[in-house]
Amino acid sequence: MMDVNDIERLFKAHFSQMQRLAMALLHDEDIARDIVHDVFARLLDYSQGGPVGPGYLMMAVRNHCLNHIRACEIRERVAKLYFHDNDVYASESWPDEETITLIYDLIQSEISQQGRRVIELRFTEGLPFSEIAVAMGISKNAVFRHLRKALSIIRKKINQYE
Amino acid sequence: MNKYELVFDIIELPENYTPWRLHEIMSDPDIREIYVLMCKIKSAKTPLPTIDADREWENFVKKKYAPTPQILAYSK
Repeated sequence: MMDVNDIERLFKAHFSQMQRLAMALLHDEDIARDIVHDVFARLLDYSQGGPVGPGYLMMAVRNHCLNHIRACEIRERVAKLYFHDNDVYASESWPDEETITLIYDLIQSEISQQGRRVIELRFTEGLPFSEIAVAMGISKNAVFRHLRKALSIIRKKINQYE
Repeated sequence: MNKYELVFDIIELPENYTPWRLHEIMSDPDIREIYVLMCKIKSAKTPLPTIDADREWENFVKKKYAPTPQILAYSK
């Protein structure tokens, strides 16, 4: 049986890794934090269950995140860039740190400066394409061209690794 | 509109498509691959916050044991 001090120790030791997993799945800091908090809230509520380890905590976060995604209808999933099909999460064991690192490195090393800027503004800053065009002083079609080229390169390189 | 542009459009303006149409679009293997790649890029490019575990614990405890609005209202 765990007491609150055990749970505090677990929280401080694993919160960062759990938050990272939730963010890779949900792309949203606040929802990710709420989900990790919820996992620990349940541990506090049901602490008679005996000690738990990091594997249990990560699986609990993953399950909570997938439940959140399952509850989203397809338009919300697409807007938030969640996989359209739950099976993809299972079949690819996503999130896969190796692929995330590979994609990150490919963006840094293989993509043009303008392609990187479009990716940064769209995927990190969350700007719509029309605002990216204004920010970069180019047309929306040019934004599409840069992104299409970047995606083609990343897609090709990933397929070479697989 | 080519397949890439269709994916760009659905992620930007999903409300312009019916759920049925989105499922239909996603049934194309090429489109699915482009879309899944964009989901993965989003994961790779989502900035990770700097985490202070002690402060997070304090926030968690405050939230966990905060009285609910209903209790506050009742106690007045």
